[in-house]
Amino acid sequence: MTQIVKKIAVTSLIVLMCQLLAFSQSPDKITIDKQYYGNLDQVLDRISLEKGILFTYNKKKLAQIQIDDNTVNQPLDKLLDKWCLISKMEWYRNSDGIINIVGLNRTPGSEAAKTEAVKTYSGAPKAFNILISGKIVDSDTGEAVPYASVVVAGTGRGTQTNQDGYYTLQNVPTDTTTVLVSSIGYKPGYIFLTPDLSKSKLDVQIEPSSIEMKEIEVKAQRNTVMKTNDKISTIQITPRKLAELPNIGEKDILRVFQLMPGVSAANEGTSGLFVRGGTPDQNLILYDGFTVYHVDHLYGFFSAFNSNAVKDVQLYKGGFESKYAGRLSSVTDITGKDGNSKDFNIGGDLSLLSANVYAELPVGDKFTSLFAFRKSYKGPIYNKIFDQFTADKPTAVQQPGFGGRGMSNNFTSQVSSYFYDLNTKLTYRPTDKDVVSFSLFNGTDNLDNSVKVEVPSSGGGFGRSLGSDNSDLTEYGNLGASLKWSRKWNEKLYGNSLVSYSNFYSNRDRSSNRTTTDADGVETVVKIGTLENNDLKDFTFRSDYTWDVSSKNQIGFGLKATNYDIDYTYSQNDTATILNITNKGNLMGGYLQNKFKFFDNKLTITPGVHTTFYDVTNKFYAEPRLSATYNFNDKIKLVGAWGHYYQFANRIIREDILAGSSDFWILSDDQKVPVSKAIHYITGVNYETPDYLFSVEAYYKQLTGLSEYSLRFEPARRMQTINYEQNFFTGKGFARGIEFLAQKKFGNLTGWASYTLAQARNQFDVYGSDYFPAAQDVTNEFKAIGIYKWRKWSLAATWIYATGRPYTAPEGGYNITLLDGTEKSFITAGTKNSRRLPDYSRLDFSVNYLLKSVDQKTERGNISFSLFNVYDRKNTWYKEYQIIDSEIISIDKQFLGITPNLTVTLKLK
Amino acid sequence: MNKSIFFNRSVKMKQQIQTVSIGLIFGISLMLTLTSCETEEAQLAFNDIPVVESYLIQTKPVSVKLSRKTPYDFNVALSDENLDLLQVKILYNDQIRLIPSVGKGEYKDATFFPQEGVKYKLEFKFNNQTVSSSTEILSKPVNYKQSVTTIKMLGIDFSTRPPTRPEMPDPVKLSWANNDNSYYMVVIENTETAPLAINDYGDREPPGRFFRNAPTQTNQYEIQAMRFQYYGKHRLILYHLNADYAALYNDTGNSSQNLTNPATNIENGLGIFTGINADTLFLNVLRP
Repeated sequence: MTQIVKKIAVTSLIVLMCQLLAFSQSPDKITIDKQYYGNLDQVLDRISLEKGILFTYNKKKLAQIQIDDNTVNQPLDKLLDKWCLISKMEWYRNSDGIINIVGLNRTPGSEAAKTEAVKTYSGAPKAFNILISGKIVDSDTGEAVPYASVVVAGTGRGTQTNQDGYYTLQNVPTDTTTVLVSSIGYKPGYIFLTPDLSKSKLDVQIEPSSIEMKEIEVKAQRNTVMKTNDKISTIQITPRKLAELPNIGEKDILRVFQLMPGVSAANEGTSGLFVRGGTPDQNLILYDGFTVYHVDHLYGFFSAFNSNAVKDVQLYKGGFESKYAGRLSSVTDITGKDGNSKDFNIGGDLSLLSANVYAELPVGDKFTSLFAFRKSYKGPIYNKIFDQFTADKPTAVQQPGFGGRGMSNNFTSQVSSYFYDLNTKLTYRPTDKDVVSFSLFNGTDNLDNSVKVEVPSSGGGFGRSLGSDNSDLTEYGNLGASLKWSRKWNEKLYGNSLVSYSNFYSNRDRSSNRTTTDADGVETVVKIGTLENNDLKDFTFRSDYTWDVSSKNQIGFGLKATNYDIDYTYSQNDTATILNITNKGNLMGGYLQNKFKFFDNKLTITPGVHTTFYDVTNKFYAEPRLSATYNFNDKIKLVGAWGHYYQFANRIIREDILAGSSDFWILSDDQKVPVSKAIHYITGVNYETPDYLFSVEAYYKQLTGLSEYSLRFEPARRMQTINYEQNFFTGKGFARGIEFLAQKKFGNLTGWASYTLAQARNQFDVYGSDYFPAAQDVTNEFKAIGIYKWRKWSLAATWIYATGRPYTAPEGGYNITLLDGTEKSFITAGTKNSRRLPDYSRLDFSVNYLLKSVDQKTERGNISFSLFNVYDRKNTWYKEYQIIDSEIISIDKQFLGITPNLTVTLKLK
Repeated sequence: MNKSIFFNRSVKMKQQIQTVSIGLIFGISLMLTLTSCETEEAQLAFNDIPVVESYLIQTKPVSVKLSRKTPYDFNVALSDENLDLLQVKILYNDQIRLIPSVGKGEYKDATFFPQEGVKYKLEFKFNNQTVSSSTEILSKPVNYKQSVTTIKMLGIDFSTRPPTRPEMPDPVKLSWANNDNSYYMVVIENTETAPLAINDYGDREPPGRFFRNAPTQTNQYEIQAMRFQYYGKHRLILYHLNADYAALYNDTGNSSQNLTNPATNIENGLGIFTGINADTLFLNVLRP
């Protein structure tokens, strides 16, 4: 009751004083021409009356401060600085011109209205059909909230904030309308417009939803980890909620997407996304605007993205808008955290796999920064996964047989592997309209399976010795950075421009260093084996604009230019370079799209086109797109999309577990490697209530210009020169499927169940004229995710069932006796992908306990225990074949069995 | 008032949800049933083609070994062809020579020695298809030299912990002329009838009497002394190879993730038909 009274009082004060505000000036322009003495509260009252400036302050606190210095001919801002210094307070002027005197560190990043529970204004509206615009920010950290929805309450008519948290909502019926602001991971809140609120700078704070379930909040709070339905085929997740789901060492954003319909889950061997029958390289991954070319940590078990540094992730499963181009299947758009703008914060996680620490440091009210660092350590989980992926793997070069007793003493296995990643984001907001941000990401995996063999010589002295290092070293990673300037030019025009650099590097050294030291101590080192090196550099400039022409029309347009520089070398015995591919190319393009709303905003149609000029083929590529949604009523929505998509950079995978997988990127040239193309057709229907969502979406993708690659040693008769032929097989394909989703967004028990029936087929002339199942084809995939919350506890379980993936079985085998008398086995491949691995299934479980501060007011972190693969299902990863006694034996290689993990997460704020 | 509205709505909603859920579960079960038959394994088509193994070496009579692929699947129907009843021909210099069968799939002509620089073509019919391949005997290696003819070495001393390797002699350096980037391979073979092992292998299987390097396009090879396993006389054979043979060392994969068909120079068949020339040097490995 008291609170309501207080709120009414504050509101009335604002209303009364607003007339004065129109004349208020900036404090640096106001010079005090009188001498003031007395308590600070009295002094401010007098200045307020005489100069027409409005102050808000704590009267009791300021009454204790005595003012007796010279105030004549002093600018007000200098005086305020001085007085605040004495009183250990801060002051700031908000967008309405009110000067607020607050406690230290209480200046908000931007003056933003708080959502309210009760409407306090009851007067008549003064303006109709108005435009409101502003920014949505997190009430705890002051960070902008991207992709939040801002809706005229009760109508479903609204808009979304952009990546920088800005929104513009036109045709709001009156200036007393109620506006609903909501975002995943936040409590929904209402803004009750009043004629006196600033409409052009209506910044709104929304409060993060608590992990803890309080009885009183159960009815009000949505507890979802993911959100679909706002745009066609789009899923949004918030990393803040990931701790609630089971994990195996890391809260992983890409692994969470694998729990969604349409994204295949049955692949522990890569964290890349197989979206609607597409391959991971057909999924564009943008991190703060730069493209990330490799997403795997530790053989793909984890993704390269540290969830502590990520604010928001959007996955467009298909039919994506004209802004995005360059990939056939899908787009993952990741927005990094800006960092807390109110307070210094530090936090981190410690799991059985890695240590993860982050810090947020605001400087003044215009600059925020975030630093996050994560590194694995050789704990039980790392070792388990590493062993799983390296077991039975021969060393690079077979050792000549020493044999004999005790020989193991001479072999020193020096295995030292780790991954790390580093994220930095610096954000500077020079004005209310501008945001300049710099984002840096570096993640590297160092997988070392080397063996060192040291054979000491007898008798010491100057005897000769011989050492041999078998290197099996893989180092790969990404370095990406972007510098972005966003500006809200006016209420209707918003734009951002960025320059970015992205580098993917992969070095593989499977060689043996033979060192001989002769009697004179002269060392000779000979390197035997293979060395592979891939280096991709992507320089991009892009500029995107959104123009809210009217409430029924929004235009998006932009320009983009990318320069690729890709090097790939493959050499043997450190002398002969067998392959040296250098790819250079430029892509230049632009797009234009227009969102139209018809029939009282029930029908939204977005036609658009993206055009690209590719200088390698010297051709223009036009990608027309069209998407439409029709809100049948407030619950039922029909969606549809169609679009053309081209891809110019292709990832070539050499999946060779024994020799070590290696993949590299090359550019299409339209000769050996065609520019690939996809046409998407999507249609669906959603039934959504505030608490439940049911959706069905069907898709069909037509694919042309697909490439498959093999690097084979092709003997060239009589030419007698090394001829490593790169075989590019080209073909076509299609993917189609239907996805069902039922989601419960409400109450103590939340979660979703999804089922996908899908087909991905390819046809390559080299394998015959028939379509064969693509390697990523999964017919049935069922997933169920449930999260139950009770006070500080949350329990979660995820269950996945998927049809086994196709594989090529051997057709037969034979042995050939070589010239040295040894026999070598050869296995011939059967019909391409005609067999399927056994069905995949897995249950994961987790318990999460919320840690709070001593006064129980602030969340301080959590302790979570996860159990991966609870019923220890032996899921087949791949099959290995051997010819033994004229029989081909098949051995199943399996994914991880039951694995527990414990993670402790702590934060200061 | 509000509560009752909410209650009514909520009951209605629950009913709706139940209906939808039942529908969804029913639909899913139906689809699972309908599609489950797709996962059954289909019998793979087996292409019954012969495997050829034939090295044409100047000093050895022509021999062609034929065999069949081992099918991966059981119950595979093989053709009626008998591997010992084929008309195996070798065509060279406008002549045709029929190679007689000696049984077990081998065809051998004790009087037929291939010649350097001559092109040979293998041809036979199998299962109504002509299986063929061509090759040539390359020149004998030129200027094949060794750095030493005798080395003296001791085995590893297992009485110490850790075991110690005694002082090793310098590597044996082999060199030859290679002006055209040809492939060469060195095979080292102990020729003693009952050779004495250099190291004590205990209960373990002693190593073979051969060892080799991988086919190389260089003009030299250093044999590290530690690679010798037996005392006695060794033959150091230097093979001058066609690229077809070198391709046999190419890794074709043996897992479902990387299976590709092996390289072969046989049309309508598998395996290898290749001409080889060689030169031999000798080396003695002695106990000091």
